[in-house]
Amino acid sequence: MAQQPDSQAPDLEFSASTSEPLLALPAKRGITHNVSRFLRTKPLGTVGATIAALLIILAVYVKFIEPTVGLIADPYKPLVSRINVAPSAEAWFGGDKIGRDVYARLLNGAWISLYVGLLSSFIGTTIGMAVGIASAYWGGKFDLVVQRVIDAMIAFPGIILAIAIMAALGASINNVVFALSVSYIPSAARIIRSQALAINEMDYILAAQAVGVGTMRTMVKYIVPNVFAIYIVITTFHLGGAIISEASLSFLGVGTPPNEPSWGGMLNSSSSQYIAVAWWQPIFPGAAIIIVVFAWNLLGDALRDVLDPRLRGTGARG
Amino acid sequence: MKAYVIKRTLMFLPTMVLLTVIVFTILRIVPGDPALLILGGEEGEEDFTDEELKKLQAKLGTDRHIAIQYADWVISMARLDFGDSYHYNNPVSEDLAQRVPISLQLTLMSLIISGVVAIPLGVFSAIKQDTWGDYISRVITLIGLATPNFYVGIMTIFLLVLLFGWIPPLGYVNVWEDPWINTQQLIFPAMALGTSGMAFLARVTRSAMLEVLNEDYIRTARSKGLAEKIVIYRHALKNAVLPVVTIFGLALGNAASGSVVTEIVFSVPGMGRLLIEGVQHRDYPMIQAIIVIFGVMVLVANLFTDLTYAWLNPRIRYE
Repeated sequence: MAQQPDSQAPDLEFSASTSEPLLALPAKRGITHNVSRFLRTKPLGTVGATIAALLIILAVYVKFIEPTVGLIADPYKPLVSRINVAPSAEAWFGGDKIGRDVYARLLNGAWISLYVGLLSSFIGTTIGMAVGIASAYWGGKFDLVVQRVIDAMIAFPGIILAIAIMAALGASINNVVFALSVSYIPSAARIIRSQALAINEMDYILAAQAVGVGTMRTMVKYIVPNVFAIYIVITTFHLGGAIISEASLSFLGVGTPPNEPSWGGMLNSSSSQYIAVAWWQPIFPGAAIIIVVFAWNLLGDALRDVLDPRLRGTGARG
Repeated sequence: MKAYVIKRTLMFLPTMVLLTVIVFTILRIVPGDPALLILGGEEGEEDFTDEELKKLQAKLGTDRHIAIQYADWVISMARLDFGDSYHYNNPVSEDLAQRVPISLQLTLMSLIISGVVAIPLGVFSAIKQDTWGDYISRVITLIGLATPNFYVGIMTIFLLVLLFGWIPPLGYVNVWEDPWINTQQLIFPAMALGTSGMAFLARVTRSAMLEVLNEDYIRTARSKGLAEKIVIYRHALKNAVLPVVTIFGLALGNAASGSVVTEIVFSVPGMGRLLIEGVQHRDYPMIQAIIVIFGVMVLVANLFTDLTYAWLNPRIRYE
């Protein structure tokens, strides 16, 4: 670096000499510009985005390509010779207590985590957005009633509401998606409502109403685009939270059925009493959860800084 | 202040009623008639006659209109009667009376641990903004947020076994009987549970502190030559604590929800263990009671938080 002290000087001269009209409006920036600026200014966010992208590729691979290729072991098949064996060349991350391949189950768990995380955060936040916008737009008694229902739903802390729903419906992956979606509705609705209330006061909403734009169209065309940034940020944070919640529910035995290779389920079947004799059983799925959720939170933090600085201080919770 | 207290307390009641409606819908209407569930056995495999069903329905009162059953359920709960457990066949309130204090102790211990660590950490991170200390503490809190608390628990046990060949004594001894054993039993679960709460609290403290440090009155305090220590502790911290107070209800809720998982990891016989056993045995009266208790606990904590906040912050008091 020291040998090229004046490397920037020519650049500066060049940009100064380009003749741009002084009063022109800035050109509308394309997506490539925004992405490259994100990569430059948010290194941690970029790390998060990279890990998140790798998770998506892995999940799609194990779900759709692996069955035809067969590179990794069958995650469901128990082998007596693999019961509690330590990591080796045959079983890279060892075997679990009934002799299934930990490595294969870990990779396949990526699909379940992503499926539950993506679907429940998307469904929950989307319904929350619809409720929040409608509540703000109509206001009055409707708003009052909706807000009390949200108060009541938000009172169930963390995964408690999800546990109640799972108790009624029984353990299955789609029930986990449903239970977590429901638990994400109230917080999303509350945040988006407060944003939508401010947007309602804007002149362009009044203008739209004045020229006779219908209610539905006003909400979809004029309000949704203006809360979309927060929507993306909330979804990203809920996604990380959903991965932890899915793991917690499966750990408790009320989430993904035990046979399915989910990270929380793997921690359950190897739980605390096994760790002293077979450390590889809990270490790997636990590390996978931490890395993946950490990555989504980094991405969420960076997206929040870029898209909506007002949400500072909130974070994904399990 | 008086008007605010009345208004805020009045809002509490309809929310509480809605909360019970939600629990009743999820755990009584969705699963169906408990008489059928009891007679069908845990897997729904057992045979029974119509007469047996009618008799049990009359005994449980499920032959009445669903609205009457709801009203009956809520009124009994108001008298602390949560019905009889299907699995243990004894009143739910008896089990709860034993278990609730254990979970409460665990939750409060973890809240104290996270508060004691998180608030100084958040303040430190804010006054040293964008230095190495700040980066390290932020990365620690981000990792804390990304770690499921049951995993912290498993790792705590692992380390105790690895380093000392020792695990905390199982079960539960009342703190008044033997405080030393009680501490040994609950300190590690409380630390494990406190970790994720700590991460959240530290982040909130940091951003609250940063916001305050950018205020004009801090600049004024500095420009009139006050020592940095006085600026931070006397002027900034006092105001930064306000937003931290507002999340007490949230922090308590998170800790309570986390206690369910932590109790399973450390075999602490609290309310969370009872809840999960209830789910395994489809013991609906038990599940309903525990879910309602969690919800009411958070509602009360939020009410308390809002009133404290109004008391501390005159802008709300005089609105």
